Amino acid sequence: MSAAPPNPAAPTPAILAAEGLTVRFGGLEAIGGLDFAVARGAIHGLIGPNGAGKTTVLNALTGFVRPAAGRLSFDGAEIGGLGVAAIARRGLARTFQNIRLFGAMTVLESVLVGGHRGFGASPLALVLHTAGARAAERAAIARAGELLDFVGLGREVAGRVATTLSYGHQRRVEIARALMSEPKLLLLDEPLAGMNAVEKAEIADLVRAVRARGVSVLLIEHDMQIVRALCDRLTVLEYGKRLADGDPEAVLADPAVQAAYLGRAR
Amino acid sequence: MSGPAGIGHIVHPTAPTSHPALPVEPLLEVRGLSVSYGRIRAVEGVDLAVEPGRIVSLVGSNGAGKSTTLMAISGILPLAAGTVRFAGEDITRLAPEARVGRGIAHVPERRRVFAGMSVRENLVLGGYSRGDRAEIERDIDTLTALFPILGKRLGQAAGTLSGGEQQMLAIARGLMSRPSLLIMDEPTMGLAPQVIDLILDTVLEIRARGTTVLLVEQNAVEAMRLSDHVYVMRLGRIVHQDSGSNIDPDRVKAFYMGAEA
Amino acid sequence: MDYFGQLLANGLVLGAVYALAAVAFTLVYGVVRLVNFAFGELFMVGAFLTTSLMLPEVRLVGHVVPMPGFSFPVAALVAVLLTAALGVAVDRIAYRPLRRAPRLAPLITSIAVSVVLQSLAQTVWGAEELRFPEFELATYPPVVLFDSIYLSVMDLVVMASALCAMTGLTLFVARSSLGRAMRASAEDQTAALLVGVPVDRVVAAAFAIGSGFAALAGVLYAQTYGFAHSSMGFLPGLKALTAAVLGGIGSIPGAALGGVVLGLVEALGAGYLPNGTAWKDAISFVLLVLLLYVRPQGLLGRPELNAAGRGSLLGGAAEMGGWLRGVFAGLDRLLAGSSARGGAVALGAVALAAAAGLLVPSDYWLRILTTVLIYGMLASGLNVIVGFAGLLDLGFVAFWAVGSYLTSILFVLVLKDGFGVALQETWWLFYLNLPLGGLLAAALAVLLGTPTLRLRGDYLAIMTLGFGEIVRIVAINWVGLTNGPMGIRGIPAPVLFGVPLGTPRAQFFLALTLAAAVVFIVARLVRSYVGRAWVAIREDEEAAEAMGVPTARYKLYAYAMSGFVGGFVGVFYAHYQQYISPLNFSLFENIILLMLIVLGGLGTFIGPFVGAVIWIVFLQVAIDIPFVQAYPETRFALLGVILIALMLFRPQGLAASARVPLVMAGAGPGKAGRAEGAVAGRAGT
Repeated sequence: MSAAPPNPAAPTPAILAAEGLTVRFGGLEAIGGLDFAVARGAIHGLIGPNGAGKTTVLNALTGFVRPAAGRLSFDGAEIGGLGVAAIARRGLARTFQNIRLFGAMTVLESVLVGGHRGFGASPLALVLHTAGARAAERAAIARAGELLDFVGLGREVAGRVATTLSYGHQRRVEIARALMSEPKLLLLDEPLAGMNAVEKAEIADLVRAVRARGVSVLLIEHDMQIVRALCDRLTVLEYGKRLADGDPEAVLADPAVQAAYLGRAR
Repeated sequence: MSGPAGIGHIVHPTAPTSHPALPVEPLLEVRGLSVSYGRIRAVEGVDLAVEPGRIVSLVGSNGAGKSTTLMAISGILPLAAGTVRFAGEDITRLAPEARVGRGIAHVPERRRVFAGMSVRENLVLGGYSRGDRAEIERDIDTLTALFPILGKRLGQAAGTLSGGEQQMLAIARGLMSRPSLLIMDEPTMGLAPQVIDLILDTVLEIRARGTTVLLVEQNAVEAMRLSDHVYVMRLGRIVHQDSGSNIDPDRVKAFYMGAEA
Repeated sequence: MDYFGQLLANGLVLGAVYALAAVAFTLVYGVVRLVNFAFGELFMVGAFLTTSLMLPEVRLVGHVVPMPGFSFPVAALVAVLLTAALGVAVDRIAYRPLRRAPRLAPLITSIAVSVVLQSLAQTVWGAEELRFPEFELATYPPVVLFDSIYLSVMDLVVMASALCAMTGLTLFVARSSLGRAMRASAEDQTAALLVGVPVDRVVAAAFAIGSGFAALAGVLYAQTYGFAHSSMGFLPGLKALTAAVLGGIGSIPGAALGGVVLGLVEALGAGYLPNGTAWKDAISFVLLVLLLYVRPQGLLGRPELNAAGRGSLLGGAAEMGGWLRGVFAGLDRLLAGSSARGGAVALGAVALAAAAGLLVPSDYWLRILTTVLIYGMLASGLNVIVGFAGLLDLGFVAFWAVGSYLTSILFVLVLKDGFGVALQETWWLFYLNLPLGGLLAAALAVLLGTPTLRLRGDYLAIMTLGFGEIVRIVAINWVGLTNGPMGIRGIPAPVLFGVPLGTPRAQFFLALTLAAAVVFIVARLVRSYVGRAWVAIREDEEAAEAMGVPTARYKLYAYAMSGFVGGFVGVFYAHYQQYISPLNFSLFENIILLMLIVLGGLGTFIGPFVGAVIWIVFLQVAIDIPFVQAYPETRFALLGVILIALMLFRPQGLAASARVPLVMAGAGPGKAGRAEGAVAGRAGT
């Protein structure tokens, strides 16, 4: 059922590019002059040992952390220095390492929050329930339902409080919420963490299906088996710098990359 | 295994750490340990045993549940199931600070020194659980002999130390409670190669002085070299274990890199 | 120069007291990140205990009880120790179980504790001031400095004790083992546990020391002003909190500095500004608000203390007793069923209320029911900002006040007194004023909300509290505009096309109409993308932002909506009461409103009304109990106790399961939608 793998050799313009990305915390340089690009339509893996700075890169891309230097371009426009919401509204959606669903909200409501930028009825229109406001709400609910089907949850969970679902299902809700904003690029921060092998395979299929919808994916993941199977291209970070970049099999066979994970013998 | 370098200038303590002669039974014995974060089962049914006088390590890729296991052994995280026995006593329900008093010291991941306090204060706090407050100064002298750089920085705020120095401080702070078991979580993470060598030599030195070590280390190659026994974790479970000399590095590598094992 | 010197000396005495109490806030905040609003009440308890212990006998709960008649130092010492023990007990019972709860829960609990302590003190020691006894030290002649600055011996004692206590504490924290453990726990509790520090005991020690300091400050304050009173801790408590924030909460030298600065600013302001004594409280709060705006971390503080408390508003249900769980489960089923049929239930509730309005024969009970509706409406307004958007606003009463004053000033001071208009002729102005008052309050809410956007959690609560107090002080002191403390009388009852609506029954139905309108407007906004954005901000501000929600703008919307309701209801309130004064709009009212929505259920539509019904009806019914008749304030103590118990066992409130669907009514997936979902294919896998 998974989508046909795209031809990585085909030159596609990058959806996201970082040039000389540098992030400092106090005096400490967490990311130092990182260059990498995510091709349009790709599933791109960002990997590296613990503490290498992967999540920091993600936070810089999404505006949570302000880069000290470097350029970030997304879909042809500069996004460095923009606020979190402004970046999100340009079509860059994300999930979080520790699932961050809104407590007390149902699955449907959570997913609808992802579609926030699509709403625009005035307060008066909302109070009066104008035809336009109702139509917008109905259309959004219909789309949320489609997305719940798409991520494999089905519409019957729409009314459940999202945080009461199983962990794997919460992850799917989070992905549906991110997709609701109709992103061009989806950033997934360790989407498989804490899952068993079956759940992992299912989410991997889902990631492929996301790409088949035309959404590019940047993935942080530790499970190399999945990374190998899923990614078109890998960027490896160590100590906040780029250690390797390229085809997954070649990158993972690189002794320098293996040493970064397993350590070097003295 | 060659003798650790740089050990020549270490002054041995006048009163080496000693613990009552134990039968062959393990110093630390964990049975069926499970830990959950909300609905996520992070660690499931872990059994492990640490015999006295040994270095036992726990390796595995990120997110395998290594740190969670250690935090549960120290009593910081509640157990969903299982028991923890230490020196023949069931300590499953003991408060974390009481475990320190029993002889378990834990050097946490990312060091977690008290950044706003001086190096000396960090060391003194390490001895908080001890009854013999008078001996504390003597132990500070001993430890600053083990880590001469700390001796030079006693008055300095711990937050101003370099990463390697903070790691040494964290280890020294742990040793200040005169533990019979020292738990070390990723002591080499983010450190420069020369510093990593120094830290790993220190692990051997600590064992040489009679303290048992339970080590979590990402550097699996080194962990396998210096450990008496190695447990490999993946997805919250122990998937492989063997003695340090018998363990197959290629198999461990497969667990890390996801190649067909 | 002499005048200046004397003011300086007065400022230092006052500053010493503030500094001592500020240490209490700062020490506990440093270790457990809790703003314990109850320190103002421990301050008061310290004063009462000292006063009582020095007297030969005291009236307690109406009975004359013999007292030891200790000398001042002995009495003060015993009082400080007893208060320290009380502080530890409060921590153990009310705060420790909430250590891992979201930050709003302990904050609200500490407000409840403060209500309980104040009400109990009034029950025990009575509503009157207890005069501080004469004692020998105080009879010595004053010391004269530079020929012109007079300082009593007790002034010197105050300064000396403050200085000794602060120095002692600084040394203790810097040098002693427990002090070191305290600093370690403040920095990193997990690391502290790992080195063997018993963090719970260290926290208890911080509470003991903090409470002791608050008590000592109270003792010194009481002897300086010569009395103890159950509400005496309120304003100094706020000032001490201001001082602690000023200095950078968490920093002990900061608290000392903040206290002295605040004391000096107040004394000099009172001495030099026109009508300065009246405005001196406002000076402190203006200083607080400005500081939080410019430099939230205070003079010596660290910026990371202004951190977001992520997570649900109050946290999930705690473990509670079996039978209690049974009772609540029944309630939950009932409410969950009703919330599924929102529109029908709402109409039913209005019909029921209308029937009650027609059938209740007594004017007395009609007035009570009208009060229920007013409180319910106000609580609904507060609920928008606290319950839905998750921003703890302690300045909400200001919006209520703005609406009330707008209409009162227009009708009474401008039309009647200014132009001599007969008010029956301008009856329509009331209906115009309803939205006008709402809009004015909404504008004020946005104005006050803007500088708070950068603040989170505790700091937000403190800043809004500062705003609320400033508005109240302005209302008291800007006599030309508001008539000051005398208030405004003779506000006409509403009239509709010549039909006077002054009877209790007419007023009830007017209130019911307005309440239905308020709930309708709030409900329609909440059940849309706006409400979803609010709840998303409440639950996880960063995640909301990452979903493209411009959180700053939506927080301002919440302020505006909340302010609108406050102003709107305020207009009606003025015409209903026909008399308003600044006393109507105190922080205590704000706290009661907050407690009502917590009681009923934050973030629900019926919660505010459930809370209001229970509270107002209880207020009336309980007054027939002889003991309550003699000690009416025990009702507030009981409300506080119930609230603390709720926080511990059912933090989501009584009507929690009447959860509000955040989807437009009628647009949601009905039964058909669900069936369709069940047969739909699973494209993802």
